[in-house]
Amino acid sequence: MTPPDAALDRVVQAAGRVEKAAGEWNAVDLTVIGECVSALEASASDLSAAFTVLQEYHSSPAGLRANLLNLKKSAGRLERLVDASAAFLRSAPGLACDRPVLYQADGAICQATPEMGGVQG
Amino acid sequence: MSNLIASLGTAGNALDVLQQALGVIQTNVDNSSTPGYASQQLNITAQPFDSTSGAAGGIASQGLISSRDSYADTQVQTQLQTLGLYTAQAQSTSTIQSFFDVSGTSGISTALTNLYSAFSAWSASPTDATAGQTVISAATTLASSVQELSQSLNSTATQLNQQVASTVGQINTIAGQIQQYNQNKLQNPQPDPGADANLENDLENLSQLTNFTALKQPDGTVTVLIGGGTPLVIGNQQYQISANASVNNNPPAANPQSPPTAHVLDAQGNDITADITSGQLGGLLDSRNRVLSSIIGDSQQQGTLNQFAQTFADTVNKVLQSGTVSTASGAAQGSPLFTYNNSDATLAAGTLAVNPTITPSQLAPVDASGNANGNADTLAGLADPNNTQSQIDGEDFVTFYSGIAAATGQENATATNNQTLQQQVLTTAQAQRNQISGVSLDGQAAEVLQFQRAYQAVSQVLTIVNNLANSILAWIPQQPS
Repeated sequence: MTPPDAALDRVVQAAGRVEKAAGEWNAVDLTVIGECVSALEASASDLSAAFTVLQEYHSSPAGLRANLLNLKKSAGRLERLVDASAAFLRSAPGLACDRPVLYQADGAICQATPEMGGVQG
Repeated sequence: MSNLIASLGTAGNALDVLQQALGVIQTNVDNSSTPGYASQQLNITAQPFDSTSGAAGGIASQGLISSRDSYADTQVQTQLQTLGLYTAQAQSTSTIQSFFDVSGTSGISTALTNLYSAFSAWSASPTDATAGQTVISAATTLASSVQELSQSLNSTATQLNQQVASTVGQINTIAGQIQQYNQNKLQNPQPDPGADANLENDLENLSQLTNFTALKQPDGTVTVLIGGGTPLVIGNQQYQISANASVNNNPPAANPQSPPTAHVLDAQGNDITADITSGQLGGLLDSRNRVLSSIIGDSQQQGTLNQFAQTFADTVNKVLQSGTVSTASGAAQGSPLFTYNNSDATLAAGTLAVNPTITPSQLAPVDASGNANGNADTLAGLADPNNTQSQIDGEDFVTFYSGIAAATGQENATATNNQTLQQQVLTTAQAQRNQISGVSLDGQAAEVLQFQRAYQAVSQVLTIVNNLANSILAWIPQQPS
């Protein structure tokens, strides 16, 4: 396996870790969240090492872009889950009200629907 | 598309569950000062994830877990019952004790000592009318002191009977609240931490009043059995108990005119007094029916104060009536110094008085043998602790009376010591229970803070991952193909 192929392999592993972290996200389990942080740190380490090798060999193996896009898709999904979780946490003091005040992922304030199946802007 | 909808559904459900978890934290914080509240936690479980079968994964709420610990609750209730017993005993016996003069400067002890001195002076001058009058005056003071003490104790008995009735009323009120809880539970069996807190508070209040057993039923209701198993609340039915003050006729009363004792009756009218052994009610019943009855008497016993009054009066009267006095018509039998109602053994102390018609000349200092001051000497000799003629149950009158006061004081000292120790035991039990079931505001705040920090950590690392991916993607087009 050439160094660029090995670098691609690390990108694939990084993408897999981020996808797994997003799939297993559990906003109320600190252990799972801790595992999520570890997985992301390992992914960052893989990406950094891979980028160094790729730059050194001036090589861009086939499938590199697709795997990076997959990784960004999973990262985006996880980001939205984390943002939404943080938003719910910030709204905790309002939970005693009839209609809790909630935050959207972008920070905008909205009202929760009674059944909490979604939000109204 | 279906995967996207499933993913969205999973995310929405996870956030819904998260909100419930945070809502539980909020409820815990709101109720941190609510008596009887046990902190709640949301039971969250992971859902299966399988993209091929369409299982979307995520998390689901499995309902609330209450930190309520029935063992800890029962321990607190038991200690409260015992504390209620000792507190009522300490308060009641303190009142009883206050009627006994312990300083020796007034009351029965002093009156008795003064009468002995009067007998002694009279024996030295048996024909002296002034000495005779001093005997009558000292006897009057003693009789008044005994009557006064008897009336005070009987009045206390009446007050204790009223307190028993009042406590029974409080028990019925709490039972009514528990019955209402059960009724609500039967209509809506869903967990309700607020209602559970109220129930626990009711049970703790009941613990202070009486001994009982609370049994949680499968339908969520609580069965409360008072004393040895008398139903108080079963399901949505309340069984009211009642109180009365009466002379016990089972077995037939030896003293039918004795002061009425306190009784607690179940819903069918059965006497359950003996089953009430703890709590405030147990303490009041003990003080009224045991401690006080031993002094003022009841249907079966005369009571030590009546025993003292009757024996002393009989002893003095017997001596005086054995002698003779000189009258205009010749020698006559001496008159009794004391009178009392002898129609019931428990009336002696309350009716003890000096013969209203007696005069110094009717006191007989001459004994049956014609000794000029024989009777007077005999009466003066009653002060001698070793004089067998002046004994009750092997004790002289002064010692016997002091024994009544000392026994009351001992009852009070024991109850007060028990109360102090029991308060410590209760505090320990409550602290242990709070460790299990109480709401720690620090804990709740720390929990929220931990989540905040964890989310921040994820966000920060996620930003690094995204930046690295973006950097590589930005670098790719610059490379030769």
